[in-house]
Amino acid sequence: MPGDRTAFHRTITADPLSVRAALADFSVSLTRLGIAPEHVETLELVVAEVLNNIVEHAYRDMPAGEIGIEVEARGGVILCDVTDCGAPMPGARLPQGAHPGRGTTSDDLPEGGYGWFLIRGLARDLTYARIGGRNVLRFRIDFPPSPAEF
Amino acid sequence: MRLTTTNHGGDLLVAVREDRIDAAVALQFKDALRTVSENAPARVVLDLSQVGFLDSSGLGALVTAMKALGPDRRLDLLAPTPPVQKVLRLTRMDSVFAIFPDEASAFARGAVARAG
Repeated sequence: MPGDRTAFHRTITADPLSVRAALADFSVSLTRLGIAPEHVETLELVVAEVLNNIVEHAYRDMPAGEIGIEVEARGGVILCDVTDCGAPMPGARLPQGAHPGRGTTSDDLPEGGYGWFLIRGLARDLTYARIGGRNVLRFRIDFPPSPAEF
Repeated sequence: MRLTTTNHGGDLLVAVREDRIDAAVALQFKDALRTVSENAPARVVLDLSQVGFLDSSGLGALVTAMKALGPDRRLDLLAPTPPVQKVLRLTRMDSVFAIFPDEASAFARGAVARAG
């Protein structure tokens, strides 16, 4: 395992069913590397949240474009690059991903905002750049993942 | 989005017959839960034992369903699988929903009072 450098490359259409298929393939690839199921689950969750965000927001006002996914697994670290040609991130930066909170009553309980909270908590070295009309999101996940912020 | 419903001693047991509650089905899931909730009794127990994946969209749908039941009815979760437990724990939603590992504990006398 140390020194392994296995790539997962995929270009998908930005729609929920294509995301599901990519996640399934991604999980199979990671499992084949010998990564334990509980870690594969965590990795799938983070990538799911990133991809869902692109589908929902980057391509919200335009026909579904493509998402490029590149993953390397190298000795205990997963490096991910996710690229799309959708709208830029508002404010040209990533959401802080604070916990959405609990509201004051059960009526106020937030229904959204958990995605970025999960990404921020599970991914490391998360960066966003707008390069040549594309959004480029990069992050690292250590396995076993160490969610220090929880 | 397949749900099956059963009356369980006056509570409504709703079993989710899907293996993923994710962005692809979150809207259908919300709609399906809203339909079963309309005439639901004071307690709805959602059986998640077949669900192997829940993302933030699915989690949001659970919250929507809980809110739709209103302050006088409750939505409890039954037998979430380890990946789903993880999401509930990481988002701290395991302190918002009462979660039972199995039907015996979910429907034991006093279960709701103990769950707080």
